[in-house]
Amino acid sequence: MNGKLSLLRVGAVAILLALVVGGELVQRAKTERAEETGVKVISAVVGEYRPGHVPQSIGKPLRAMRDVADAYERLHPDVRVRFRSVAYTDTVEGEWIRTQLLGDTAPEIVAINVEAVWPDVDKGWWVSLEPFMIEPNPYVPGNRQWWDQFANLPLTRAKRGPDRQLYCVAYDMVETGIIYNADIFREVGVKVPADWEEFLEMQRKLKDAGYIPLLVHFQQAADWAQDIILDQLYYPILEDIDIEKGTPEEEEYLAGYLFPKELCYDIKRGYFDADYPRWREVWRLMLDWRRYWQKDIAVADRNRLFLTKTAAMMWEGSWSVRRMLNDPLVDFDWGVFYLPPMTKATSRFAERVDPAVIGGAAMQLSVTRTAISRGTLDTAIDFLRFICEPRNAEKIIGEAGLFIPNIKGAKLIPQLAPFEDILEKRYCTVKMLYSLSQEFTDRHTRMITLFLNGGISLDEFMVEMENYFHTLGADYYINKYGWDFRDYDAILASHGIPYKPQR
Amino acid sequence: MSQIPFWTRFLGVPLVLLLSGAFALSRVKRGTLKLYLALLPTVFLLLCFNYYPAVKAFHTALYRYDIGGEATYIGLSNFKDILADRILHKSFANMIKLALFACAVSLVMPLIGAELIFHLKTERMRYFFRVLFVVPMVVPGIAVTLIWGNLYSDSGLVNRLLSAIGLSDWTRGWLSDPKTALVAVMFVGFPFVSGFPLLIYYAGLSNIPESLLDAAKIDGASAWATFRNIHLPMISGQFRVLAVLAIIGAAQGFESILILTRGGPGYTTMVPGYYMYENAFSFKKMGYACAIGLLLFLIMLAGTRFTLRFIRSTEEFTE
Repeated sequence: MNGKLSLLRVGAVAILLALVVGGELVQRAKTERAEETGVKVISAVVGEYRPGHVPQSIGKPLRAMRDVADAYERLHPDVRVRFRSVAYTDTVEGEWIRTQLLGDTAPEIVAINVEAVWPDVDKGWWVSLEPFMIEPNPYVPGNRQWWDQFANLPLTRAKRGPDRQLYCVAYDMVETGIIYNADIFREVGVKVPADWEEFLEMQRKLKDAGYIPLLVHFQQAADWAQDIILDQLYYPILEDIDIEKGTPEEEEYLAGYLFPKELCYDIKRGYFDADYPRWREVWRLMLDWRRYWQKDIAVADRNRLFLTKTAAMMWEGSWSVRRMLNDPLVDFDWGVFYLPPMTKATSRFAERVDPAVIGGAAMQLSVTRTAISRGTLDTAIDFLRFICEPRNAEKIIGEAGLFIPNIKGAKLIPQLAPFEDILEKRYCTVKMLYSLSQEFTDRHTRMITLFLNGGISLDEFMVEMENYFHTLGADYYINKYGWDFRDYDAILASHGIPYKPQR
Repeated sequence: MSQIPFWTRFLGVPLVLLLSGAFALSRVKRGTLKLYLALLPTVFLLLCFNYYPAVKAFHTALYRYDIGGEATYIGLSNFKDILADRILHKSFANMIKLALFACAVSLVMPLIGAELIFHLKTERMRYFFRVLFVVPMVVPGIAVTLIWGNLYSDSGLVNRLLSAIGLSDWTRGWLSDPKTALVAVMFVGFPFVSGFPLLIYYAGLSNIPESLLDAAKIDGASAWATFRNIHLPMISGQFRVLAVLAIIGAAQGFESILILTRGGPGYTTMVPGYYMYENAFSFKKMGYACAIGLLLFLIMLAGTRFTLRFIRSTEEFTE
C-alpha cells in the first residue's frame, strides 16, 4: 500500500513537473517562432475604446478598435496588435502604469491624461512625439505633417509639457455640460438660466418642488467647479496675474492661461492666500451653490438619480450622451446647457464674463519606453497614425459616442453637437488640480470635500489650502526646477503691475 | 525574453511546492537530507517574496526614493517627518478606533454565534447552521464592500429605510459626511458573525472534554457560569489566535477604505495602511512609505506580543 501511494505521489509530481516545464517549452517555442518570422506584437491600453468594453455600462460592446487593428494587421502581416485592460483604483492617475514601467512590462501605447506623464518624463519613461508630428501621416493622402490632421490644432499643441515636448496624441475632445430633464423644467416652470442668479433661483424652485436640483460629484467640484468659478472672479484681473505669454501657437488656445511657473509666482505673490478676498470668494460661492446638490457628493451612481427623475439636472461630460441615447429609462425630453456667467449681483468680483471651458483633450495616447526596449517604436507610431486616418477615427470615436473627434474629416454624432459648440469658448484661466504636484492634487481635493461636507470652516479651509499651495505647490516646483522669478519681477516692473494683489 | 505563462506562474509553482512539501513529509522518518532538499524551494520563495522585501523596505526607509528615479540616503529623516506628519497621526487615531471596534465585534459576535450553534439540540441542526454561516465566505470581500457602499449611498437602503419610518431628516451621505464616515466604515460587515472565526470557536467548544461539562451540570452550574468558567478558559487559545489576527488585520488592512472612502472626506477615515500605499504609488515617496511600513510592523509586533502575554492559552488553563 505504501509502495502504491509513493508511486502515486511520484507520478503526480512528475506529471505536474511535465506540465510546468512543457508549458514553458511551448511558450518559448511560440516566442521563438514569432521572433524567427519577425512578428512584432504591440500592446495598447486605449481607454474607453477598448474592444469588448461597454462604455457607461450601456449599449453593445465596442468592436471598432479591433476592426481597425485587424485592418492594420492585414496591411502589415508582421504585426499583431493586442489590447489590454487596466484595473483602475480611481485614485491618483497613473499608479498602474508606473508599476508597469518600473518592470518594463508596460504596453507600448497608453491612454492617460498627459499631465500624469509630465512628472516622469525625466526618468525616460515616455517617448516624445515631437519629431514624429512633423512627419507626414502616410495613411492620409496629401498630408504633409501629422500635426495638420488635428481639428483643434491649438488644443493639440497645448498638450505639450513643461519641457515643450509633446507626449500624447489628443485623439478626441470632451467638454462638460448641465444635462437637464426638460419635462421637470416645464413642470416646475423653470428655464435655462441666463446668469448665475437665475441659475440659483431655478435650483431653489426645483428643490422646493421636491427634486434634487443638481447632481455634482466631489471630484467635479474640486476640478470643474473650482476652475470655472476661479476663472469668473480672476479673469477681470488677468493682466496682473498672467505674466508669461506663451508661444503664438500656445496663445491660440491658451491665451490668458496660467502656466505652472506663473501659478507658482502668483502663489508667492499672495493671490491664493487665506485672506485674499477674491480667493475666499471662490469658496464662499462654491459653498453657497453646494446646498442645491445631492447630500452625498461621493455617490458614484448619479445616473440612477437623474434617470429615475429624482434629480432635475446633472453636471456631466459628453460621455453621458451615450447613456441618454441608449437607456430605456430615458423617456423624457432632455437638453444640455453650459454654466451661466456670474454678475455683480453674484459677487463684487464678477463682471459677467462668458464662462470658460474646462474640457479639452479626452483620450490622450502616449507611447512608453517599452516601445524602445522592445524595438517596436516605429510600429507603435505607425499604428497611432493609422487610427488617426479620418475614416478609422470616425469609426472608433463614433461607435462609442462619448467624445468629439479631434481628427479633421471624422464626423461626430449629432447629439454631441452641443458639446462641440461649448468647446468653442475660451479656455479657463488655470486647471488648478493638474498644475501642481500630485500630492497637492490629492490634499487639495480632500480638503475641498471636507469643506463642502461641513467638516471644516471656511477659515480653517483657507489656512490649510494656503499651506498646501506653498509647500506642495510653489515650493515643490521651485525646488524641482530651480526656478527664480527675476524675469517675472522685471515684467511686473516694466508694466507697472504691483507685486502684491490689491485687496 | 520569453514570458512565463500565467498558469505556470500562478498554479504550477505553488502546486509543485505543495507536492514537494507532501513528498518531504512522507519521507520525514527516512532521512533529513531529502527533507531539507524538499523544503528548499519553499524556503527560497519565502526568502525571496516575504523576507527580502521586508528587509529591503527597512533599508529603503533610510532613503528618499522617487520610484523609477534616484535614491538618496537621508538617514532617519523619514522618521522625523513621521513625527511631524499630522495626517499620519490622525490616521493612527483612526486605526486605533477601527481596531478596537473590530477586535471587540470580531471576537465577540462569532463567539455568540458559535455558542448558539453549540447549544442546538441535534447535530443535524448544528451542521445546517454552521454551513449557513460559512457559505457567505465564498463571496469576495470586495463585492461585499461595494454592496455596503451602495447601501450607504443617497438612494441606498439605509436612507430609504430612514425615510420610510419618517426619519428623512436623518438621511445623509453616510460615507461623505465627516461626522458619520468612520462609523459607517466600522459597520461594514454587520452583524460581524463571519464564518472563519465562528468555525474556530466552534472547534474549540467541540474540543471541551465532555467530562468537564457533565461535572458542571452535576454541580448545578448555570449556563452563564458554565460559559464563564469552562467555555471561555477552554477556548482561550482560539481567542488568542483570533485576537492576533484581528490586530494584524486592523493595522494592515485598508481594502474597505480604498473602496468606500479613499480615506476621506478629508482625512476622516484615513488609516496608516492606505496612507502608506498613497505615498508609495500616488506620490511616489517610496522611502517615506517604507518608513511608515516599518512603524506599522513595530506596532503589530507590539500588539501581538501584548496579546500573547496577557491572554493565557488553553494549555495554561488545563495545567
